[in-house]
Amino acid sequence: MPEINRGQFLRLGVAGVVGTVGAGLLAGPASAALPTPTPQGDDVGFLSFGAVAEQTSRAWYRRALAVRGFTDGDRRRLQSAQAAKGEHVTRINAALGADAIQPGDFAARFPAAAFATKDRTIALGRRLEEILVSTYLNGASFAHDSGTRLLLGRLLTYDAQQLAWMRGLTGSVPAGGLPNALSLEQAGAQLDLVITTPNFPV
Amino acid sequence: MLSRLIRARRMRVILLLATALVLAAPAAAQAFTVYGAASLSSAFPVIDSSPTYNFAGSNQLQLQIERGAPADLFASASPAEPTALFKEGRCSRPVTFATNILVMVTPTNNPAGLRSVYGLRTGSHRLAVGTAGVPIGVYTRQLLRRMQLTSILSTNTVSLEPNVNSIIAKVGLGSADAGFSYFTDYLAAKNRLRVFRLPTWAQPPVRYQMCVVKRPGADTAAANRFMQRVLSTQGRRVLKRFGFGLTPRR
Repeated sequence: MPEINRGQFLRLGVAGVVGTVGAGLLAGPASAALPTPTPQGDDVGFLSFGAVAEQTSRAWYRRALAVRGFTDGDRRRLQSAQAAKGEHVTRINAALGADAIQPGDFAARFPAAAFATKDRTIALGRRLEEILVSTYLNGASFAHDSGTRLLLGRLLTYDAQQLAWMRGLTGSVPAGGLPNALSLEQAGAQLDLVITTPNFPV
Repeated sequence: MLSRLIRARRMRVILLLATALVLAAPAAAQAFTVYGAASLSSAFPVIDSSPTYNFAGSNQLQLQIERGAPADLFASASPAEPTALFKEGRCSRPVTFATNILVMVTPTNNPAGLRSVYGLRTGSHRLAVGTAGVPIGVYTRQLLRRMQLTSILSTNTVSLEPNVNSIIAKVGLGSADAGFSYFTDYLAAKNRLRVFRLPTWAQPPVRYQMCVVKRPGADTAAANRFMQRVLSTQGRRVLKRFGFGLTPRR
Protein backbone atom coordinates (compact mmCIF):
# COMPACT_ATOMS: atom_id res chain seq x y z
CA MET A 1 0.00 0.00 0.00
CA PRO A 2 2.63 2.56 0.92
CA GLU A 3 4.07 2.39 -2.61
CA ILE A 4 3.06 5.51 -4.44
CA ASN A 5 1.57 5.01 -7.87
CA ARG A 6 2.48 6.85 -11.01
CA GLY A 7 -0.56 9.08 -10.95
CA GLN A 8 0.13 10.23 -7.41
CA PHE A 9 3.71 10.96 -8.25
CA LEU A 10 2.75 12.97 -11.28
CA ARG A 11 0.43 15.11 -9.20
CA LEU A 12 3.04 15.77 -6.56
CA GLY A 13 6.50 16.03 -7.89
CA VAL A 14 6.39 16.35 -11.61
CA ALA A 15 5.08 19.91 -11.43
CA GLY A 16 8.41 21.04 -10.11
CA VAL A 17 10.38 19.01 -12.58
CA VAL A 18 8.27 20.27 -15.46
CA GLY A 19 8.92 23.78 -14.24
CA THR A 20 12.57 22.99 -14.26
CA VAL A 21 12.36 21.74 -17.80
CA GLY A 22 10.29 24.75 -18.76
CA ALA A 23 12.94 27.04 -17.42
CA GLY A 24 15.29 25.59 -19.95
CA LEU A 25 17.37 23.65 -17.49
CA LEU A 26 17.27 20.50 -19.55
CA ALA A 27 18.18 22.09 -22.82
CA GLY A 28 18.86 18.93 -24.79
CA PRO A 29 17.36 15.50 -25.11
CA ALA A 30 17.60 13.37 -21.97
CA SER A 31 20.01 11.01 -23.65
CA ALA A 32 22.47 13.77 -24.59
CA ALA A 33 25.82 13.85 -22.81
CA LEU A 34 25.53 15.75 -19.53
CA PRO A 35 27.59 18.91 -19.32
CA THR A 36 30.18 18.71 -16.59
CA PRO A 37 29.21 20.99 -13.72
CA THR A 38 31.68 23.81 -13.27
CA PRO A 39 30.18 25.75 -10.37
CA GLN A 40 30.64 29.50 -10.46
CA GLY A 41 30.25 32.01 -7.63
CA ASP A 42 27.39 31.10 -5.33
CA ASP A 43 26.81 27.74 -7.07
CA VAL A 44 29.29 26.24 -4.58
CA GLY A 45 26.84 27.07 -1.79
CA PHE A 46 23.99 25.04 -3.30
CA LEU A 47 26.29 22.09 -3.93
CA SER A 48 28.01 22.19 -0.53
CA PHE A 49 24.68 22.34 1.23
CA GLY A 50 23.38 19.52 -0.96
CA ALA A 51 26.37 17.33 -0.08
CA VAL A 52 25.89 17.84 3.67
CA ALA A 53 22.11 17.38 3.50
CA GLU A 54 22.38 14.28 1.27
CA GLN A 55 24.88 12.69 3.67
CA THR A 56 22.54 13.47 6.56
CA SER A 57 19.61 12.03 4.64
CA ARG A 58 21.68 8.93 3.87
CA ALA A 59 22.33 8.51 7.60
CA TRP A 60 18.56 8.72 8.15
CA TYR A 61 17.90 5.94 5.59
CA ARG A 62 20.51 3.76 7.32
CA ARG A 63 18.85 4.28 10.71
CA ALA A 64 15.34 3.88 9.29
CA LEU A 65 16.20 0.39 8.04
CA ALA A 66 16.49 -0.76 11.65
CA VAL A 67 13.02 0.55 12.60
CA ARG A 68 10.13 -1.92 12.87
CA GLY A 69 6.93 -1.55 10.92
CA PHE A 70 8.16 -1.07 7.38
CA THR A 71 7.03 -3.61 4.79
CA ASP A 72 9.51 -5.56 2.68
CA GLY A 73 8.70 -3.23 -0.20
CA ASP A 74 9.41 -0.20 1.98
CA ARG A 75 12.72 -1.69 3.04
CA ARG A 76 13.76 -2.29 -0.54
CA ARG A 77 13.00 1.32 -1.30
CA LEU A 78 14.87 2.52 1.80
CA GLN A 79 17.89 0.48 0.77
CA SER A 80 17.81 1.69 -2.79
CA ALA A 81 17.43 5.30 -1.65
CA GLN A 82 20.35 4.92 0.76
CA ALA A 83 22.53 3.82 -2.15
CA ALA A 84 21.20 6.63 -4.35
CA LYS A 85 22.06 9.19 -1.66
CA GLY A 86 25.62 7.94 -1.65
CA GLU A 87 25.74 8.42 -5.42
CA HIS A 88 24.36 11.93 -5.06
CA VAL A 89 27.15 12.83 -2.65
CA THR A 90 29.74 11.40 -5.05
CA ARG A 91 28.35 13.42 -7.95
CA ILE A 92 28.14 16.63 -5.95
CA ASN A 93 31.65 16.19 -4.56
CA ALA A 94 33.00 15.58 -8.08
CA ALA A 95 31.52 18.95 -9.04
CA LEU A 96 32.91 20.63 -5.93
CA GLY A 97 36.48 19.39 -6.50
CA ALA A 98 38.74 20.88 -3.84
CA ASP A 99 35.68 22.12 -1.91
CA ALA A 100 34.25 18.58 -1.60
CA ILE A 101 32.58 17.69 1.69
CA GLN A 102 34.26 14.75 3.40
CA PRO A 103 32.30 12.23 5.53
CA GLY A 104 34.24 13.22 8.68
CA ASP A 105 33.56 16.95 8.31
CA PHE A 106 30.32 16.68 10.28
CA ALA A 107 28.10 14.03 11.85
CA ALA A 108 24.35 13.44 11.92
CA ARG A 109 22.88 13.95 15.40
CA PHE A 110 19.27 12.87 15.33
CA PRO A 111 17.02 13.28 18.39
CA ALA A 112 16.95 10.06 20.42
CA ALA A 113 13.18 9.68 20.06
CA ALA A 114 13.19 10.29 16.32
CA PHE A 115 13.38 6.57 15.55
CA ALA A 116 11.13 5.35 18.36
CA THR A 117 8.23 4.58 16.02
CA LYS A 118 7.70 4.24 12.30
CA ASP A 119 5.66 7.45 12.17
CA ARG A 120 8.29 9.49 13.96
CA THR A 121 10.95 8.02 11.73
CA ILE A 122 9.05 8.98 8.61
CA ALA A 123 8.37 12.47 9.97
CA LEU A 124 12.09 13.13 10.30
CA GLY A 125 12.92 11.60 6.90
CA ARG A 126 10.21 13.68 5.30
CA ARG A 127 11.59 16.83 6.91
CA LEU A 128 15.04 16.07 5.53
CA GLU A 129 13.69 15.47 2.03
CA GLU A 130 11.71 18.72 2.25
CA ILE A 131 14.88 20.62 3.15
CA LEU A 132 16.66 19.07 0.17
CA VAL A 133 13.84 19.69 -2.30
CA SER A 134 13.39 23.28 -1.09
CA THR A 135 17.07 24.02 -1.55
CA TYR A 136 17.38 22.28 -4.91
CA LEU A 137 14.37 24.25 -6.19
CA ASN A 138 16.26 27.42 -5.34
CA GLY A 139 19.52 26.14 -6.82
CA ALA A 140 17.95 24.82 -10.03
CA SER A 141 16.52 28.26 -10.60
CA PHE A 142 19.44 30.47 -9.64
CA ALA A 143 22.71 28.57 -10.16
CA HIS A 144 24.91 30.37 -12.69
CA ASP A 145 26.46 27.35 -14.39
CA SER A 146 24.18 25.31 -16.67
CA GLY A 147 25.87 22.02 -15.75
CA THR A 148 25.30 22.77 -12.07
CA ARG A 149 21.66 23.66 -12.76
CA LEU A 150 21.16 20.38 -14.57
CA LEU A 151 22.75 18.40 -11.73
CA LEU A 152 20.59 20.20 -9.15
CA GLY A 153 17.51 19.62 -11.32
CA ARG A 154 18.15 15.90 -11.45
CA LEU A 155 18.75 15.68 -7.72
CA LEU A 156 15.52 17.62 -7.25
CA THR A 157 13.65 15.09 -9.35
CA TYR A 158 14.88 12.15 -7.32
CA ASP A 159 14.29 13.77 -3.94
CA ALA A 160 10.82 14.99 -4.95
CA GLN A 161 9.94 11.35 -5.70
CA GLN A 162 11.24 10.29 -2.30
CA LEU A 163 9.25 13.06 -0.64
CA ALA A 164 6.10 11.94 -2.43
CA TRP A 165 6.72 8.36 -1.33
CA MET A 166 7.15 9.41 2.31
CA ARG A 167 3.98 11.48 2.19
CA GLY A 168 2.23 8.42 0.85
CA LEU A 169 3.58 6.33 3.73
CA THR A 170 1.95 8.64 6.27
CA GLY A 171 -1.29 8.75 4.34
CA SER A 172 -0.92 12.39 3.36
CA VAL A 173 -2.48 13.54 0.16
CA PRO A 174 0.35 13.35 -2.34
CA ALA A 175 -1.10 16.20 -4.37
CA GLY A 176 0.20 18.65 -1.75
CA GLY A 177 2.79 19.82 -4.25
CA LEU A 178 6.39 20.80 -3.74
CA PRO A 179 7.53 22.74 -0.70
CA ASN A 180 8.52 26.37 -1.10
CA ALA A 181 12.04 27.17 -2.21
CA LEU A 182 14.31 28.00 0.72
CA SER A 183 17.42 30.16 0.89
CA LEU A 184 20.56 28.55 2.29
CA GLU A 185 20.14 30.67 5.40
CA GLN A 186 16.69 29.22 6.06
CA ALA A 187 17.51 25.67 5.03
CA GLY A 188 20.82 25.75 6.93
CA ALA A 189 19.11 26.74 10.17
CA GLN A 190 16.89 23.65 9.86
CA LEU A 191 19.68 21.27 8.88
CA ASP A 192 21.87 22.48 11.76
CA LEU A 193 19.34 21.00 14.19
CA VAL A 194 20.36 17.48 13.18
CA ILE A 195 24.11 17.75 12.54
CA THR A 196 27.16 18.43 14.64
CA THR A 197 30.90 19.04 14.25
CA PRO A 198 32.64 15.78 15.18
CA ASN A 199 35.18 15.81 18.01
CA PHE A 200 34.32 19.32 19.03
CA PRO A 201 33.26 20.08 22.62
CA VAL A 202 30.64 22.81 21.98
CA MET B 1 113.89 19.83 25.40
CA LEU B 2 111.83 16.92 24.08
CA SER B 3 109.71 16.82 27.23
CA ARG B 4 109.06 20.57 26.90
CA LEU B 5 107.88 20.02 23.33
CA ILE B 6 105.59 17.21 24.42
CA ARG B 7 104.23 19.34 27.25
CA ALA B 8 103.57 22.24 24.84
CA ARG B 9 101.77 19.91 22.41
CA ARG B 10 99.68 18.51 25.29
CA MET B 11 98.78 22.04 26.34
CA ARG B 12 97.68 22.85 22.77
CA VAL B 13 95.47 19.73 22.66
CA ILE B 14 93.96 20.59 26.04
CA LEU B 15 93.32 24.16 24.88
CA LEU B 16 91.68 22.92 21.68
CA LEU B 17 89.45 20.52 23.63
CA ALA B 18 88.52 23.25 26.10
CA THR B 19 87.68 25.65 23.26
CA ALA B 20 85.54 22.97 21.60
CA LEU B 21 83.70 22.34 24.86
CA VAL B 22 83.11 26.05 25.43
CA LEU B 23 81.75 26.44 21.90
CA ALA B 24 79.59 23.35 22.17
CA ALA B 25 78.13 24.22 25.56
CA PRO B 26 75.66 26.99 24.47
CA ALA B 27 74.25 24.80 21.71
CA ALA B 28 73.56 21.96 24.11
CA ALA B 29 72.04 24.26 26.69
CA GLN B 30 69.83 26.04 24.16
CA ALA B 31 66.13 25.09 24.37
CA PHE B 32 64.67 23.48 21.33
CA THR B 33 62.38 25.59 19.17
CA VAL B 34 58.71 25.08 18.39
CA TYR B 35 57.19 26.95 15.46
CA GLY B 36 53.47 27.07 16.16
CA ALA B 37 50.32 28.50 14.63
CA ALA B 38 49.29 31.77 16.33
CA SER B 39 46.11 30.11 17.60
CA LEU B 40 48.22 27.75 19.72
CA SER B 41 49.99 30.56 21.58
CA SER B 42 47.89 30.17 24.75
CA ALA B 43 47.72 26.38 25.01
CA PHE B 44 51.23 25.22 24.02
CA PRO B 45 53.19 27.05 26.76
CA VAL B 46 50.86 25.45 29.34
CA ILE B 47 51.56 21.99 27.93
CA ASP B 48 55.32 22.61 27.98
CA SER B 49 57.02 25.83 29.05
CA SER B 50 60.58 24.74 28.21
CA PRO B 51 60.80 25.27 24.41
CA THR B 52 61.53 28.53 22.69
CA TYR B 53 58.30 29.35 20.87
CA ASN B 54 57.76 31.23 17.64
CA PHE B 55 54.06 31.79 17.01
CA ALA B 56 52.84 33.24 13.71
CA GLY B 57 50.69 32.45 10.71
CA SER B 58 51.29 28.83 9.66
CA ASN B 59 52.08 29.83 6.08
CA GLN B 60 54.77 32.27 7.29
CA LEU B 61 56.29 29.59 9.51
CA GLN B 62 56.34 27.13 6.63
CA LEU B 63 58.21 29.66 4.52
CA GLN B 64 60.72 30.29 7.30
CA ILE B 65 61.36 26.56 7.70
CA GLU B 66 61.85 26.19 3.94
CA ARG B 67 64.46 28.94 4.17
CA GLY B 68 66.33 27.07 6.89
CA ALA B 69 64.98 28.64 10.09
CA PRO B 70 66.11 26.79 13.25
CA ALA B 71 62.77 25.09 14.00
CA ASP B 72 62.70 21.67 15.65
CA LEU B 73 58.94 21.12 15.62
CA PHE B 74 56.24 22.67 13.46
CA ALA B 75 52.57 22.81 14.54
CA SER B 76 50.17 24.20 11.95
CA ALA B 77 46.50 25.22 11.99
CA SER B 78 45.96 23.37 8.71
CA PRO B 79 47.32 20.18 7.13
CA ALA B 80 48.40 22.06 3.99
CA GLU B 81 51.67 23.49 5.38
CA PRO B 82 53.09 20.41 7.18
CA THR B 83 52.02 18.22 4.26
CA ALA B 84 53.97 20.46 1.87
CA LEU B 85 57.06 20.30 4.13
CA PHE B 86 56.70 16.52 4.42
CA LYS B 87 56.58 16.18 0.63
CA GLU B 88 59.70 18.34 0.39
CA GLY B 89 61.47 16.04 2.88
CA ARG B 90 61.73 18.83 5.44
CA CYS B 91 59.67 17.23 8.17
CA SER B 92 58.30 13.92 9.40
CA ARG B 93 54.83 12.61 8.48
CA PRO B 94 52.35 15.10 10.04
CA VAL B 95 50.16 14.02 12.95
CA THR B 96 46.71 15.50 13.61
CA PHE B 97 46.31 16.55 17.24
CA ALA B 98 43.40 19.00 17.50
CA THR B 99 40.40 20.51 15.74
CA ASN B 100 38.63 23.84 15.86
CA ILE B 101 35.64 25.71 14.46
CA LEU B 102 35.20 29.18 13.04
CA VAL B 103 33.19 31.92 14.74
CA MET B 104 32.40 35.55 14.05
CA VAL B 105 33.51 37.97 16.76
CA THR B 106 32.60 41.58 17.42
CA PRO B 107 33.69 43.99 20.15
CA THR B 108 31.70 43.44 23.36
CA ASN B 109 29.52 46.49 22.75
CA ASN B 110 28.90 45.38 19.12
CA PRO B 111 28.87 48.95 17.74
CA ALA B 112 27.57 47.81 14.33
CA GLY B 113 24.58 46.10 15.93
CA LEU B 114 25.18 42.84 14.11
CA ARG B 115 22.85 39.97 14.94
CA SER B 116 24.42 37.30 12.76
CA VAL B 117 26.93 36.88 9.96
CA TYR B 118 24.11 37.58 7.50
CA GLY B 119 24.01 41.15 8.86
CA LEU B 120 27.25 41.77 7.00
CA ARG B 121 25.36 41.59 3.68
CA THR B 122 24.24 45.20 4.15
CA GLY B 123 27.86 46.29 3.63
CA SER B 124 29.78 49.32 4.94
CA HIS B 125 31.11 47.51 8.00
CA ARG B 126 34.77 47.16 8.99
CA LEU B 127 35.88 43.53 8.81
CA ALA B 128 39.08 41.86 9.99
CA VAL B 129 39.84 38.77 7.92
CA GLY B 130 42.93 36.57 7.54
CA THR B 131 44.96 36.95 4.35
CA ALA B 132 44.27 34.44 1.60
CA GLY B 133 47.44 32.45 2.45
CA VAL B 134 47.10 32.00 6.21
CA PRO B 135 44.89 29.07 7.36
CA ILE B 136 42.31 31.29 9.12
CA GLY B 137 41.95 33.24 5.88
CA VAL B 138 41.64 30.09 3.77
CA TYR B 139 39.02 28.62 6.13
CA THR B 140 37.08 31.91 6.26
CA ARG B 141 36.87 32.12 2.47
CA GLN B 142 35.81 28.48 2.26
CA LEU B 143 33.03 29.10 4.80
CA LEU B 144 31.84 32.25 3.03
CA ARG B 145 31.79 30.43 -0.34
CA ARG B 146 29.62 27.71 1.15
CA MET B 147 27.26 30.27 2.72
CA GLN B 148 27.09 32.31 -0.51
CA LEU B 149 28.52 35.27 1.36
CA THR B 150 31.72 35.87 -0.61
CA SER B 151 30.33 39.27 -1.61
CA ILE B 152 30.75 40.61 1.94
CA LEU B 153 34.49 40.75 1.28
CA SER B 154 33.87 43.41 -1.35
CA THR B 155 30.91 45.30 0.11
CA ASN B 156 32.59 45.88 3.49
CA THR B 157 35.90 47.54 4.35
CA VAL B 158 38.20 44.57 4.87
CA SER B 159 41.53 44.64 6.65
CA LEU B 160 43.64 41.60 5.81
CA GLU B 161 45.50 40.23 8.82
CA PRO B 162 48.57 37.97 8.81
CA ASN B 163 47.29 35.72 11.62
CA VAL B 164 44.39 35.15 13.96
CA ASN B 165 45.97 37.08 16.85
CA SER B 166 45.91 40.23 14.71
CA ILE B 167 42.24 39.68 13.94
CA ILE B 168 41.40 39.30 17.63
CA ALA B 169 43.48 42.37 18.52
CA LYS B 170 41.81 44.49 15.85
CA VAL B 171 38.27 43.50 16.84
CA GLY B 172 39.02 43.66 20.56
CA LEU B 173 40.31 47.21 20.21
CA GLY B 174 37.24 48.23 18.24
CA SER B 175 39.21 48.89 15.06
CA ALA B 176 36.93 46.42 13.28
CA ASP B 177 33.18 45.85 13.64
CA ALA B 178 33.59 42.10 13.16
CA GLY B 179 36.14 39.45 12.36
CA PHE B 180 36.41 35.74 11.71
CA SER B 181 38.51 33.71 14.10
CA TYR B 182 38.76 30.28 15.68
CA PHE B 183 36.52 29.52 18.64
CA THR B 184 39.59 29.03 20.86
CA ASP B 185 40.88 32.54 20.13
CA TYR B 186 37.52 33.97 21.11
CA LEU B 187 37.75 32.05 24.41
CA ALA B 188 41.20 33.46 25.13
CA ALA B 189 39.91 37.03 24.75
CA LYS B 190 36.25 36.67 25.62
CA ASN B 191 36.24 39.58 28.05
CA ARG B 192 36.79 41.89 25.07
CA LEU B 193 34.65 40.05 22.50
CA ARG B 194 31.17 38.89 21.68
CA VAL B 195 30.81 35.67 19.74
CA PHE B 196 28.40 34.61 16.99
CA ARG B 197 28.21 30.97 16.01
CA LEU B 198 28.44 30.13 12.33
CA PRO B 199 26.37 27.35 10.72
CA THR B 200 27.63 23.85 11.38
CA TRP B 201 26.83 22.70 7.85
CA ALA B 202 29.12 25.37 6.38
CA GLN B 203 32.07 24.83 8.75
CA PRO B 204 35.29 23.85 6.98
CA PRO B 205 37.21 21.02 8.66
CA VAL B 206 39.85 22.78 10.81
CA ARG B 207 42.61 20.28 11.59
CA TYR B 208 45.84 21.02 13.49
CA GLN B 209 48.87 18.98 12.51
CA MET B 210 52.44 18.85 13.74
CA CYS B 211 55.67 17.34 12.46
CA VAL B 212 59.32 17.06 13.49
CA VAL B 213 61.50 19.30 11.35
CA LYS B 214 64.34 17.65 9.45
CA ARG B 215 67.42 19.87 9.16
CA PRO B 216 71.08 19.62 10.07
CA GLY B 217 71.47 20.15 13.82
CA ALA B 218 67.76 19.77 14.64
CA ASP B 219 66.97 18.51 18.13
CA THR B 220 64.83 15.62 16.89
CA ALA B 221 64.75 13.84 20.24
CA ALA B 222 63.38 16.90 22.05
CA ALA B 223 60.88 17.53 19.26
CA ASN B 224 59.62 13.94 19.51
CA ARG B 225 59.30 14.28 23.28
CA PHE B 226 57.29 17.47 22.81
CA MET B 227 55.04 15.76 20.29
CA GLN B 228 54.37 12.92 22.74
CA ARG B 229 53.60 15.44 25.46
CA VAL B 230 51.00 17.16 23.25
CA LEU B 231 49.43 13.79 22.38
CA SER B 232 49.46 12.57 25.99
CA THR B 233 46.40 12.56 28.24
CA GLN B 234 47.75 15.62 30.02
CA GLY B 235 48.39 17.45 26.74
CA ARG B 236 44.92 16.62 25.44
CA ARG B 237 43.41 17.80 28.70
CA VAL B 238 45.10 21.18 28.29
CA LEU B 239 43.98 21.48 24.67
CA LYS B 240 40.43 20.68 25.69
CA ARG B 241 40.59 23.25 28.49
CA PHE B 242 41.50 25.89 25.92
CA GLY B 243 38.49 24.91 23.81
CA PHE B 244 40.10 22.75 21.12
CA GLY B 245 38.41 19.69 19.73
CA LEU B 246 40.31 16.41 19.94
CA THR B 247 40.65 13.69 17.36
CA PRO B 248 40.20 10.08 18.55
CA ARG B 249 43.35 8.55 20.03
CA ARG B 250 45.48 6.65 17.52
